Amino acid sequence: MAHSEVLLASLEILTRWDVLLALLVGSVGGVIIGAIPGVGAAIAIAILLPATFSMEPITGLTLLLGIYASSMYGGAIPAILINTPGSSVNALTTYNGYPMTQRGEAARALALAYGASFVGGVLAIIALITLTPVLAKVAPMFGSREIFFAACLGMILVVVSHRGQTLIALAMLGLGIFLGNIGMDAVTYTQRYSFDQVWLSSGINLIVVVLGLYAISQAFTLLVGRDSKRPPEPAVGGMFRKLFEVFRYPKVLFPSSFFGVVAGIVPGVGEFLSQFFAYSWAQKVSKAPELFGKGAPDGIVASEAANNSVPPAAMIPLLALGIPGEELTAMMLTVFYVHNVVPGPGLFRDQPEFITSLYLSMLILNILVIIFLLYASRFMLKVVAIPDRFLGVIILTLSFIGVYSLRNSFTDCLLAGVFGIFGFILKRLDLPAVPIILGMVLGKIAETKFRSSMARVDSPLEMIERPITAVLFGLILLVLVVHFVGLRRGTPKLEQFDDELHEAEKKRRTDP
Amino acid sequence: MQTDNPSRQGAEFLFIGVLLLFSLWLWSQLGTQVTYVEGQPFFKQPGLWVVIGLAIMTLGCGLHLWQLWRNGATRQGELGHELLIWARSLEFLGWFLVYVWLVPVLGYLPATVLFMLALTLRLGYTEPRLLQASVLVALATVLIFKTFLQAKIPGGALYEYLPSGLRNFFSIYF
Repeated sequence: MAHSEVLLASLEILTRWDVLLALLVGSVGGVIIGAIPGVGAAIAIAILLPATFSMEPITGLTLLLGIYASSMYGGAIPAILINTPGSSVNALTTYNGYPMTQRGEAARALALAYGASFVGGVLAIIALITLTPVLAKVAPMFGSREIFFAACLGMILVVVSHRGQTLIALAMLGLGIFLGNIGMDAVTYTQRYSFDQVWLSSGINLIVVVLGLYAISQAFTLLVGRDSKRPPEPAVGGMFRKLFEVFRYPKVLFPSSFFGVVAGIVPGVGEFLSQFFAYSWAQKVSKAPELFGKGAPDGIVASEAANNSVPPAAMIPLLALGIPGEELTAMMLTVFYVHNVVPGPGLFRDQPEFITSLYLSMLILNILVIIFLLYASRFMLKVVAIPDRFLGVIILTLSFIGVYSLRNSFTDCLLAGVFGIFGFILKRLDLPAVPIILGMVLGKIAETKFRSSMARVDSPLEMIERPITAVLFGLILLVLVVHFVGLRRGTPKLEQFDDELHEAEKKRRTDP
Repeated sequence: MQTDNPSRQGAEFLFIGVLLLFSLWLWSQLGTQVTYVEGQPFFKQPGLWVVIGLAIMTLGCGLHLWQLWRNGATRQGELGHELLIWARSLEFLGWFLVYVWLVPVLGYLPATVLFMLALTLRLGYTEPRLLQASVLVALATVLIFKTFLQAKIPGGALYEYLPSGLRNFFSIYF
């Protein structure tokens, strides 16, 4: 198919009413969800996931991607205006956003955040458009062995990226791999840890675990806690002109977006490291580094450009190789699976219009969000004012539809509830849940690919004889060596940054 | 790093300890819950990845527990207070399961309105504004997911008592 034909076919897809509606609901809904402290994209995507199974893949993915990408914009609003980050990725924005609000520069701070998010998002989409086809060209060289090592690298990165919590992250990854392997083995037709229970013989559904660990656990957290007091809303207005101020900080804006793109591509890294590098860089090149933490405009630009460039970039390994790097793209992978669409080079060859319409929808989404925010930022503060415990009631009610609509099973709901309690305890103890989800997804991929590759080799050592497997194996060793050297030497700057961010994030929680 | 809240470090020790015991119990079930296929090498056995998962889990829990013990986590914190908070979440699990049980009996719309209203009242919200909001959110949830998105939720047993035309309408849309 010629490029112009692909473009026309993609535009045709994008003008369908269901895709347009998904774009609108995803972008507006994502901003609202992101702005509510205690909800966040992961919970919303977990709840909506089963509902998207009845949609066409492009519609479902547009909706979920819309929520994923636009929630970061929304999260900056309460972070800047009331010192409460909408989600953990916006915690860094409170450092400089709220002091600016206190100085009477709320509109300027919001405009900087929106502008930086927009530029970060668009640059990441450009990276997605340019890098994914390149990776997809390399992807045919990825056989079972290469995918196996890529999945292993992803699992190791997920563990080591939990600085200071690597041991418990390792335990949770193991739990995830175990959960993902319960039930009938598809090759030998033997049962694995099903205890002769029919409901266990088909395995534990990923969505049940995701909903339990993310949505139901958050509902319990809010229901058990207290309603927090929000400060009065500051005046916001005249943002359009201020939106372009972000371009006065090119030395911060573009490198921060670059850090976000790299962090998005590498599995398990995510927003934290991209924000750390972006913020440190911004401090280094700033004309007024002493203002950082007291209302530095370039501080806001660094944190928002770095976090908003992660979602599109996270789609690169997912689309090109079928390897998710974090929990949200892992959830999106299930949309592909349900519709028998296999991400990878075949998708680029057979359905180029699908890929192009996905790119275009992400671009349109960023424009829609900016337009919506210019007019609706004040309204967003009303949404933030929903009492925490009432929000818990809403999340619990919505979680039901996510689990029950899968197969109308009381057992699924009970299991999701049990994972909800488990996730609630993890949240209380500040322990990570992400490795469980990635253990389930990547563990399954690793198992399948390991088996098919072992059928073709005589000894496990033959696995690293190919150039790509050798490189991936080398990377695994390198990551481990760097991690252990870092443990010995210590990374005080990173640890201090982590602690400070943790403190800022705590503002959105209320203890019972 | 363990939880930075000292009052919870004892609770963390207990939680990871229970998880470690659970993983050890799973190890004890290995012989009966995984089939060993004769003639197949170890790396082609169906239970290989279950064993890998369990080994990683046990190792991670064991080392983390040892680290907590070395840091004196067992001597810290009001364990009882934290356990009480965990137990309080069980009440809401109960509410959730009653809601799940009620949906096929009452139907999705009545059960959702009843659940949201009752739980809102249970939380102590008595202002008419929030009670109205709970009914409106319940209605919106049903309209979006069941009426519009056609989520697979069966019609309630109670709908059987409606006149035939209404019965079908309610079963399909509410």
